[in-house]
Amino acid sequence: MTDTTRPPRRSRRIRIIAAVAGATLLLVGGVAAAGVLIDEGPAVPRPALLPVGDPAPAFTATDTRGGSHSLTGYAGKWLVLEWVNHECPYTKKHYALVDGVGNTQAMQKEYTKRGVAWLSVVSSGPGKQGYTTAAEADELTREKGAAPTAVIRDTAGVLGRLYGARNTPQYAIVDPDGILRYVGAIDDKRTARSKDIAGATNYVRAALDSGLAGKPIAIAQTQPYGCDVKY
Amino acid sequence: MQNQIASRFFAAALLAAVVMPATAGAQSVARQPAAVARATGSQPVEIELRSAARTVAPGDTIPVAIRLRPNPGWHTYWRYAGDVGSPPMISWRLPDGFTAAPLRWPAPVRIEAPAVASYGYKREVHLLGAVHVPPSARVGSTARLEATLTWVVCDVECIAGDVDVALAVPVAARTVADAEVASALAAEAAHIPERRDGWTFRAAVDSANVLLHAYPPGDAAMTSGLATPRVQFFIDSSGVIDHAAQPQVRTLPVGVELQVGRSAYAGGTPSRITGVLVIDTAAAAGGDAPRMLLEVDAPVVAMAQLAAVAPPAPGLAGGLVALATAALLALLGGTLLNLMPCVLPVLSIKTLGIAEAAAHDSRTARRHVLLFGAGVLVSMWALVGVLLALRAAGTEVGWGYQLQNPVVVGALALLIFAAGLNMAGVFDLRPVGGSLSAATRSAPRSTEAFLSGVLVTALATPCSAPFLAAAVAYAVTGGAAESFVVFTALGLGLVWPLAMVAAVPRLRAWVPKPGAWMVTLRQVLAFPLFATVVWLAWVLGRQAGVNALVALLGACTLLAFGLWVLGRFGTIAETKGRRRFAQGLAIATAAGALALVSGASAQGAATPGVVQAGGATSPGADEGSLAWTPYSTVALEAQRDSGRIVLVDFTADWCLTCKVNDRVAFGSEAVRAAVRNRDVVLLRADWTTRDPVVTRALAAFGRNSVPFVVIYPQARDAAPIILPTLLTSGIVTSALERAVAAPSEVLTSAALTSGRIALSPSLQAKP
Repeated sequence: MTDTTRPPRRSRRIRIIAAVAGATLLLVGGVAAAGVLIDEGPAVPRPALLPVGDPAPAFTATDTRGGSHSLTGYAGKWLVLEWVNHECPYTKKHYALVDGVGNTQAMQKEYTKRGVAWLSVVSSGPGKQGYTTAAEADELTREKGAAPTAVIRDTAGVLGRLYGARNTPQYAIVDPDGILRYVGAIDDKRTARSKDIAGATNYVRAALDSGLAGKPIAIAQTQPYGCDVKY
Repeated sequence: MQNQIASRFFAAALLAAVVMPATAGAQSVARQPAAVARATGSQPVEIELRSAARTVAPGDTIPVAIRLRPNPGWHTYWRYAGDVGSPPMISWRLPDGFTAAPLRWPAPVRIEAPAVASYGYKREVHLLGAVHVPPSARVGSTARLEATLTWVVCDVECIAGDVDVALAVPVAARTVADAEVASALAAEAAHIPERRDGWTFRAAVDSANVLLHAYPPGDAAMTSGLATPRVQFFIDSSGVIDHAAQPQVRTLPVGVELQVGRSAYAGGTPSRITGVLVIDTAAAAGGDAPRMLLEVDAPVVAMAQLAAVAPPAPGLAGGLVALATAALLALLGGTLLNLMPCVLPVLSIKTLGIAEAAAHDSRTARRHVLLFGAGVLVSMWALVGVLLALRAAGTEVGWGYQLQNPVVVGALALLIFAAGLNMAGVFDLRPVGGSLSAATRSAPRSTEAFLSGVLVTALATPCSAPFLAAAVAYAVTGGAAESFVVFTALGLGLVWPLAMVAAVPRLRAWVPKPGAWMVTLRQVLAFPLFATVVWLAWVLGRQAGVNALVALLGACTLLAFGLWVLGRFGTIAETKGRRRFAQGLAIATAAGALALVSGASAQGAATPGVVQAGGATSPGADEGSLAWTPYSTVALEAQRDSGRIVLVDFTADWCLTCKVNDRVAFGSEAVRAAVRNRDVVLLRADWTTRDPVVTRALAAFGRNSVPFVVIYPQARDAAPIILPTLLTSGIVTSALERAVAAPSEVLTSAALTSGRIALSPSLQAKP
């Protein structure tokens, strides 16, 4: 310690004060400059709402026998909405009998037995592919051995558009609380061949099995495939 | 001769047409030209399997093609069909040793129907394939190539079917081409997209959009040709983009950008975007120049990163200005770090020590300053390295990323606690902490000087100065070179005041001369360090729960004991044995403390719901009467739909500036009144631990640091108001005022895609 060069006490104090003042100035200046520099920028596009996890849109629709079906009517039950067009090769794929069993028919039988409501929806407009009279629709159901709770005639396409149905087949699954829990394809093999069903992952079965078991649904939305809905 | 060959190939005609029960029967046609197996009939599509070789030599390859010719008004599909339909498929049944190459698909066209879009061909198309003949094939035998072709053809309606076809190609001494088929295949080959050297592709995905950037090789002609491009992108996987949405194309200075809406059925975020890009350049559109057909394989990077690679304006000069601005900000930020509570104590003592040493031996002092600076810079570069590595691995990182990991927070808290104990005089450790005690010593040794640089950098990381956020955001989103420059500037900013003291004798005269007061100062400066530990402990508690917090307190106690033993029995006055024992014990307790805190932190962080339980997003007592709701895209949209003003506060517990904003702005009565009166919804996006939702939301604004506060005005189409980093109650209330008033400038879609939004403020500041 060599204190011989130490300046008078007062001069040292002045220097300390000067240093502190300088530092404060720098800090204040910096903060002010940062405030100026960081200004408003333009906006971002607004993100699309994800439908899954939201309450399903309420609807009232009429079936082939004149019966009325509404979302609230299925409160407390799992509800499957399935868009079909009996002339579309992709609907045909999932209704075709492979070794005597139709893929969709088997699902309808199994899940309605387990308390699930299953509405097959025909959204084809009059004169468009897949359009049928009520009697023709019932005949098709009988002929194919299909077993939905009901077949909805959505000839104006109201229900289809409400649920954003683009393809046949396409599925929407609503839980007992009215929450949309799955939208999308029936499975992951985007082909029109019935023989591809065997190796496919069936998203609808997976969603219903998880949902009925009270487990979270792992794959909740997929891109549907098939024909477009003939509104 | 010709006739003879033709008759031989008659056998190669289609054998049977097996069609799915679901479809009307496709039928075979009897008479065939050479080297063609045709499957057609009453269907609206003509299908053939064609061979470009009349004979093939062993070991050679037979070019083959599936020819599909839909009737007018009908179309077939590409390798990915889009919303409707499916691609044709071929399943080969080949003789032993024969192998088939995957099909090569010509670029498709967009086929639109109401609300849907598909990718396919309205024209006659050849899907190109190849069959490799093994060298062992016997000359004189006939190679029988059988396959099942599956097809879907649509106009408004769709028809699907499959058909078995067979080709017989004689194996001969040499390969003889079928001129007609070969020329058809060659013509089609011009429509096959390629992977081209020099092109790079990058993509970014947020909840609303997919952005794809294509950068051509550094070829001036090609770049200028992109001035007014017509660009189409055909993705080849489902659930990524909305096929029916019209992509928006924008020319970048270095390439083109496509923005297209996300699929409403999007599951997760893809890691790569693949497909085909078709670019009609200005020249190509006007003349005969061929279109560019490119196979795209783009890694998905963070939105901010994508914007940063292709800034909207720069050119070299603009880029340099942006870089210089960022570097300058970093230099200023680094300088300000000197005054931060976590750095100031250590650095001021260091400065005094250097000043003293320089007075005695300026050369040694200068050398030590250089070493200290090297320590700082090397640590900064290490930070850049980790940052770049994380980014390369696809992790979404931002500044402060270190503190999102509770283990790092715990370790830093221990380090700062140890530094505090050292300054308080509990112990004196030459190799690591010696520099801290330099006030009472002559110039420190070389390793100490270097290590104290590392220490100062480590201490500086939790504190970020206002300038730092802007500069570091630029560095983080930019390339490796930018990151390097900015962090170097940051390090230099941290070091230069000290270096000046050592280098300029006149400046040294301003530094108060050493004396007993320095010991007092040093001990007093221990307390800002302890305060920093308290703050880090709170952060850790929020991140990893009360158990981790208690573990940290226990670790501190353990460490304090070990260091006290070191200070008491590790001095030169004690016997060698005692010294050894004290040192060993100190090391053991330090290791034990570190293990304890990192174990508990890691465990706490792994327990889900800890942060929520900590209540970072619930209304807290320290936030006055403001009621915050956790941020989510759905919550934001729902509240905006309800017509209320929404304020989103991006914050983190480790962010000091955020806490200041909490107190100064959100804690003020004026802001509380404004929020009440204007019925403002308050959403809090908590970034204390890594949260991809928050990271993406920040990236959408081109930010990667907190604090960040944005106000969405009442008018749905009005641009969000972005508040400055440091808030006052006046700033918040006047912004809320504006949010009620008439909508501000509505943005064009071009501006939305421009990446301008995704740039750090330092970039916005450039001309």
